Amino acid sequence: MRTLEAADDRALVAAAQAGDRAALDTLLRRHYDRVHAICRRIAGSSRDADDAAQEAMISIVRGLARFDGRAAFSTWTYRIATNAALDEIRKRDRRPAPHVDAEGSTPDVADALSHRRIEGVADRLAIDQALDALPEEFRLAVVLRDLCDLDYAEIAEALDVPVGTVKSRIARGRSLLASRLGNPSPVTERPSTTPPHEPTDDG
Amino acid sequence: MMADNDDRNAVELASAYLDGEATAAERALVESDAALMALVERLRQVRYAVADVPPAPPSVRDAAIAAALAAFDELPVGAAPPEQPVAPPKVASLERRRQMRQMQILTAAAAAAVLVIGGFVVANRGGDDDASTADEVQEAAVTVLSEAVEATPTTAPALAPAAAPTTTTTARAGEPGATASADEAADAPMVAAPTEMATAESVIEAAGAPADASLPVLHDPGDLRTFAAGLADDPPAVDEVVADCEQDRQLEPDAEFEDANGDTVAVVVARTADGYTAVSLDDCTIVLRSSS
Repeated sequence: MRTLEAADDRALVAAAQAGDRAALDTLLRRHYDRVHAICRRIAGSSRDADDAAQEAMISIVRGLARFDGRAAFSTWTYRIATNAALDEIRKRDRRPAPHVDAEGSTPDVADALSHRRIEGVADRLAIDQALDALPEEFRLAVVLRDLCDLDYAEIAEALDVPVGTVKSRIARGRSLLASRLGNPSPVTERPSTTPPHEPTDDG
Repeated sequence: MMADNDDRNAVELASAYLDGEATAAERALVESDAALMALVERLRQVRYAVADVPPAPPSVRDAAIAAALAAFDELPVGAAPPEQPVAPPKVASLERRRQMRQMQILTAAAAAAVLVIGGFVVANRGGDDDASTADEVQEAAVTVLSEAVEATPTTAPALAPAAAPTTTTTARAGEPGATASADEAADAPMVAAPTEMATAESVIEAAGAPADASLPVLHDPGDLRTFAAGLADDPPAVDEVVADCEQDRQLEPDAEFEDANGDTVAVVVARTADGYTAVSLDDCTIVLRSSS
């Protein structure tokens, strides 16, 4: 087990593709938290994120045989997680609206740390709401950059848009988030497909 | 308006600086401007907030991994990596689709012409000189086909992909070389089918090739938006498409949608108030949505 945990993704992927279940288990555990975080940030609620992350894990397993190593395994899983989260949003859109969001309930306040805990929950709710209000294009670009730490070129490839568009979406997404989180910024609300200064290719 | 553009430029500059994606000149500009540096700090706080995600409870994590491993156990034995890497599907350009359709139309027209000419010759000869008749039919068919092929643009893809496998047989999944080979295969030019298509039967067969072969594959809203923006005409309204679909009217698919599981479904692209959707022809539901 120690050997597996020390192995890099490439070796684990090769072993898993060859049918090594333990290698696959290690690989999935290594990437689950990030996959879940992506789903959480894109889908919004933790319940949807849980479902989306599980779907993503299953998709990773089913698609592993087709993974050709062109991109890093982590980047590949980010894309799968992104799609799983978007699917979850679509499913949610088709469902009747829930009457109560479990996350909106007040946590127990019986201990000395309760004040800080509530603040933490409030902060997280604020960022959840601010992200949820972002146009999807902006949200995806910001999450892939700020959570997954992908560079602009990797995001451009994942989203199939020019690098210039990625740059613009990240900037405007962050600016809108800053505005909604209490830092006013004058950027317009809706994404424009052709901002005046936006390059049309990798410029 | 000018102020808006200036503000947006400032935000973009600060954001690129934060990400280490600014040029040397841009970095110098940001660092020399206190307001821009303050903006960088504000965006940095946003970055921290986005990255600060509460982890899933261990039970949720364990359940997800158990479900994935169960899926692994259900895979067919020997589901080994493919011998040849599969290139990611890309959205075909509208021009390419037009060319393919044009070729199909011309081929079908050629097939029809062959049948008409063949019938005409047979009727006139009364079947008393079979060998000669067959030769003349074939010659006429080749002439018609040649004219049809010449009438297509020189860049038009024909009916069969080039012998892509021969360029990829040495590449194995997971190896760096695999990618280049897969891309080469995906981008390989299309070549004309062999000359035996001069027979009427093979021409008809070719003309009836599955239309799905030319359908683009959409994965995400970006794909949908790109595809819809490239359409010559505005897509129909989504209500109209769903209604037609639900009434089992014959709708021609515009594309295929591939979900995160790799499952595909034929879709029709439709217009909404603020963008586009892809409607599944399987169950008439919206499977993909994008803003315009």
